[in-house]
Amino acid sequence: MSDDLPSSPQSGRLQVDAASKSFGQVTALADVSLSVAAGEFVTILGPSGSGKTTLLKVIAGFETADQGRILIDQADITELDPARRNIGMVFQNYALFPHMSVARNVAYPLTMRGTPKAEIAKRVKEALDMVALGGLAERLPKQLSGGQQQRVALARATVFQPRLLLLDEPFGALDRKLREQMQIEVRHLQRRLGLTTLFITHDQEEALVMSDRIAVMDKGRVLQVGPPNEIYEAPASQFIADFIGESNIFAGVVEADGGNALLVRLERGPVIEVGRRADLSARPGQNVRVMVRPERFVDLAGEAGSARANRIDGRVTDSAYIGVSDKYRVVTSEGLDVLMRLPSGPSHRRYSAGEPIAAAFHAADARLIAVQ
Amino acid sequence: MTLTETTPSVASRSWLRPGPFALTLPALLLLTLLFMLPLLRLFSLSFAGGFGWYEKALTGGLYTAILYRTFEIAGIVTFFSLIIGYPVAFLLATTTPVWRAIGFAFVMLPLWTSVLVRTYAWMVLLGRNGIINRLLIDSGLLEAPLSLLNSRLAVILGMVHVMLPFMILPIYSALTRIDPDLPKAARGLGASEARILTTIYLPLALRGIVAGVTLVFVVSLGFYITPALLGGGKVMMFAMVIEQQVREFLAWNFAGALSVILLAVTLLMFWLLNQGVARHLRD
Repeated sequence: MSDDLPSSPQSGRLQVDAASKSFGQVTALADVSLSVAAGEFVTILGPSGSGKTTLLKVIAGFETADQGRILIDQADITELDPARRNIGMVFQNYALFPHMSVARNVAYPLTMRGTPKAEIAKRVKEALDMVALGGLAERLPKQLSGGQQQRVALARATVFQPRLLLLDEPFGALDRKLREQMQIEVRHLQRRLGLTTLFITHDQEEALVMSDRIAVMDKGRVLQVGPPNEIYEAPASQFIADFIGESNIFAGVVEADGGNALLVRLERGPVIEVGRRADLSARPGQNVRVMVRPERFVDLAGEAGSARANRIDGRVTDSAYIGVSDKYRVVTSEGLDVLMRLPSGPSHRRYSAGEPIAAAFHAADARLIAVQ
Repeated sequence: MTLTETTPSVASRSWLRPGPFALTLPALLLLTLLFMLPLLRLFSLSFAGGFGWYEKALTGGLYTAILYRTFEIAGIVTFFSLIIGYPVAFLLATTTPVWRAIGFAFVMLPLWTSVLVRTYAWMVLLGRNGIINRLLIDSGLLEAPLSLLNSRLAVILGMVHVMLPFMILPIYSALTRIDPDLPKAARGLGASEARILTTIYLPLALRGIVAGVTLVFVVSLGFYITPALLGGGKVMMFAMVIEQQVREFLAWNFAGALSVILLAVTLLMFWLLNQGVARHLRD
């Protein structure tokens, strides 16, 4: 009965079409639409409880959407038995079968498909070689390290040439070094196999590093989908700006439209120039919110009297040495609270708490994120 | 480092303190006085005059036939306990907490009821004028009552009923230790419900299954009350023969020999079952 499972050598295009799912009163997915191109690596990024795991379960077939459809290569799989979806999945805790050897774990999906024994042996060997575990085929999962277990799970999820690979926070249990190494390995494997991949994480750094595109989710909704630099530089909302990286969000009023830039008087602070947005217009008199990333500030120590635009003068209240940069909390005389990251190292000046500081940012680095 | 340094000194003084062994002393004392000593006495009685009593027990066919029948009944009881118990354990392990609590009440209730009461309940159900015969006759399905009581069927029914919780509990405990993601992962990798059962649930619950099977089989071998009452003397089990020898014929030596035979065979079965598991788990 399992002999006729579909086995397509080519990775598929995934489409989630207006999927909704509630558990009692709790809405886990609210009208979620998302499409992933063949061979693309898309990350679903969101805080816990944002519905990202539910979305993954609906795609894998472990949960059924109340509404909406799931399609792979135009074929509707919404009602299809998970066993017949041909989707590879790596679980958060890997879900390796503890009573089977590494080789039998990897062979499992092929055995279920009635693949001939000789071919199973060949493909299991290939899959294990690909994740550099060729010598550990006869070990039991509990005899492997976390990173090795991870690789077995990956081999098992890809050995049957699935149309789609789902990864549910697979690096959560690994230490930082190993995690970074696995991020690169997974990406290599995914590229080599040309696998359409949906990756779930709550770690924004991981999402930025790994993805072709990121879909940010919160409260069961997809808020923004785009390439990592777009999500980081041009967040669609204050939530996204806050969730991804560090940000300063300034409230202010538009004073004038200066052609290339808007002049915004900050609620507590100076007038700043803010880059215009083609898709979001603001007229003088409107209340706006502006985001500036802390690392976009430039120290003005050398040019004490400079009359640069977007200059922030204040006093350092907290300073922290991070290694790659120095992190400062600065309060202006008007009471504006600003987070700055300035380059660290012997060629740069370090400020300690209580010292005055002057720093500036470019108008293009100030992002208009909301207009009321 | 510190662990390896401190461990020996702690270990060297541990005999001074009341260790786990000392805590078991009262139980050990009780067992020795009330169980081991009488058993030894029985053992020595059985050898009074050499192997004569054993020769009597093992030749002539009567007692070996009863021993064989005892095994047969214990085997059948174990088989049905497993067939009925596994699905119940599976349901208990996978259902919602509310249904689990209700299910457990039904599983445990018989355990809290005296075996005698339960056996009499079966007599009420199975008797010539019992509820089952009444229903069958009143509904016109039968002319004359079936003789359900005093039969092998009645004995097996009663024993399965008594033994079921001992099968369900260890299997349940093994099933709850299975990571719920495993069957899901198997499903996603293409396994049907049947394959998930044979490749995931059964092997991972094996310890529990063997524990249940061993418990039910071994306890069934020595069953007395249920077969005595529901079999009505027509279904002889080994424990009943022993009791008969002691009570009716005061043949303590012979009863001793029979007891030692039953004990030896039971221990052998216990050992074999455990060997089987040990070998399987090593693979």
